[in-house]
Amino acid sequence: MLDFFILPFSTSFHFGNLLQLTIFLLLPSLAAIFPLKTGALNLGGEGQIYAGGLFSTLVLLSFSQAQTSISITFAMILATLVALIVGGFLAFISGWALEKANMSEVVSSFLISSAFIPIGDYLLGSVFLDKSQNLVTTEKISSMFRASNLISSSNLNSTIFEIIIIVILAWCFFKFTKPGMIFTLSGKGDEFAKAAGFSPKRNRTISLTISGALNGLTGFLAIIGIYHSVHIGFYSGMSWNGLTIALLCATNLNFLLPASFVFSYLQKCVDNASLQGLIGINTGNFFKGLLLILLSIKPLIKKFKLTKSNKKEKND
Amino acid sequence: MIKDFIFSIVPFLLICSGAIYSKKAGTLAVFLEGAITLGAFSSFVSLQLTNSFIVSIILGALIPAILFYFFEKFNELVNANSFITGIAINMCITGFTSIMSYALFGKSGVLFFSVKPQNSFVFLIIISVISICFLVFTEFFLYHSKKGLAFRLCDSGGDYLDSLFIDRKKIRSISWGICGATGGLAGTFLSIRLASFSTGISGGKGWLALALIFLASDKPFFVFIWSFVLVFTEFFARWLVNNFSQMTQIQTLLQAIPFIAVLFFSGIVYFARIILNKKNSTKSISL
Repeated sequence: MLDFFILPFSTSFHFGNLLQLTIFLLLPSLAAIFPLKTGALNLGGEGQIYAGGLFSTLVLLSFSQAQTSISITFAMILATLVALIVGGFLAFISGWALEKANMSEVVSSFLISSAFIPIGDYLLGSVFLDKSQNLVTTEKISSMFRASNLISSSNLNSTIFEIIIIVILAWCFFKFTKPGMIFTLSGKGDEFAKAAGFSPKRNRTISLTISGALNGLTGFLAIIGIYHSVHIGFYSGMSWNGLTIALLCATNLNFLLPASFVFSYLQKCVDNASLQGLIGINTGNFFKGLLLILLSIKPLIKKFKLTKSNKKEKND
Repeated sequence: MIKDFIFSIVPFLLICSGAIYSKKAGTLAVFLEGAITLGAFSSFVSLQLTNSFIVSIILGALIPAILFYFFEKFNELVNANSFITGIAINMCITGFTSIMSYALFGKSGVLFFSVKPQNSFVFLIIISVISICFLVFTEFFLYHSKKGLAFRLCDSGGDYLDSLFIDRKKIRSISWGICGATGGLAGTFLSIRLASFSTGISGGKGWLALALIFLASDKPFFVFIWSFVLVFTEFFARWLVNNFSQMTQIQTLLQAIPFIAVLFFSGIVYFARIILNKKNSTKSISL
């Protein structure tokens, strides 16, 4: 039983993977937080991650013969932009439909993502398939485009620094900038936002676009950091995990890292215990679900403090 | 083919009609996948043990209903985030059914009936009739009755309900129970139809149902229409693959057709509504 909780810290391999998952999940969580702040919900993250990863990989594959550092840098910048634009565009459609036709972004984002996934699978399985492999996957990207490993044999790679910078920028955006404050106000209430002169629907469109762009970037960083090629289902669960973490931290960026760590730790406990044969995969999911239920309980301490202060007022 | 078509719509009708109650009461039913899986498992196990369809249908609906009713009570008690707990209970149920199927049958994965059940077609028809009757009942209950009005006011007019001393929390718990029952019944239907059980039996129908109720604006009649559109396009894609040999090469691509079709038609509906509203408002101005 103790092994279940200690395994993620037992070796540099396990700890490296835990750290990688913790920081990697910050990006899809941020992608979920942006629309939540403005009162919207992006359920199309899976498709956006897939699209961003797939098209940015195709850009990198087309530059596989690049020799000079300028061309390598140009390829990386172009691939990043493609990931941002493709992911952002898929989410922008939902935002535009919300703004112009009042169509719920929950429906449109989910349907667009569900529609894109079979299209992506078809492109992957026919047009971009690496025929030298037995798996349904693209060719591997050139080693010059891959993120460097920080702890050998684990997944921990240099993309974590880019992710940390993006999270810090997002924190500053919401804390110190006027657009960030407007975003937060738009999520508090439509009438209040309108009275203050802001368009809540326009802000939701923008936040959804940013969310899609961040999801696209997640796909790109997953490929250059971990997988090095696109295969079917590589995006699976990333967006939902991000949404869960965003809700765990109550969209408060101050608690994003701890929430991500707790979630990743649970995930790694289950994964490692399953791999070692201590528990089945589904048994692990059962315990993870139970622990998530416990974590979602809003602090009872707050309730206790409130009743304590009420009692004090009565005595006075 | 007509039989298959009707049997493909029935799970959506059941799941959506339950999800409408939950949405009206103020929570998005993200636990539907778990309700379907639990209902399918309960009915599979009870059918194996009792060999009675009636018992399996009743337990398939009752067990998820009771579980989700008390689960929402727990959410209220501890002030938990119902979106997270909904997702968590999906995970728990997937794990639980896997553990129990290993404990009861010695294996997990896909379980088949040891003896093929007789007369399953009759009971599938019964559940189909129940689904349509419940959808009609939902329309009348929610939109033409006092108690239904309380459900509809639960989210938007909560203060009014409080002034009438109507317990919103009780309504929310009941809505989760109803959602669990209909989801469980849908799972029962799938399990009987496929004569098997697997943890992936829901196949994403829970999430699709949520999208459909948004499109239908929580109206049972439009739930039927959108379910019809979705299943029709699925059958159309399958027909193309079966009748045109060139289509087998793009079979994966054709799986996107139902979603693109629903998006397309919903886009038309939403924009038509906007245009009509604009015309009406210009008419009233000119008058």
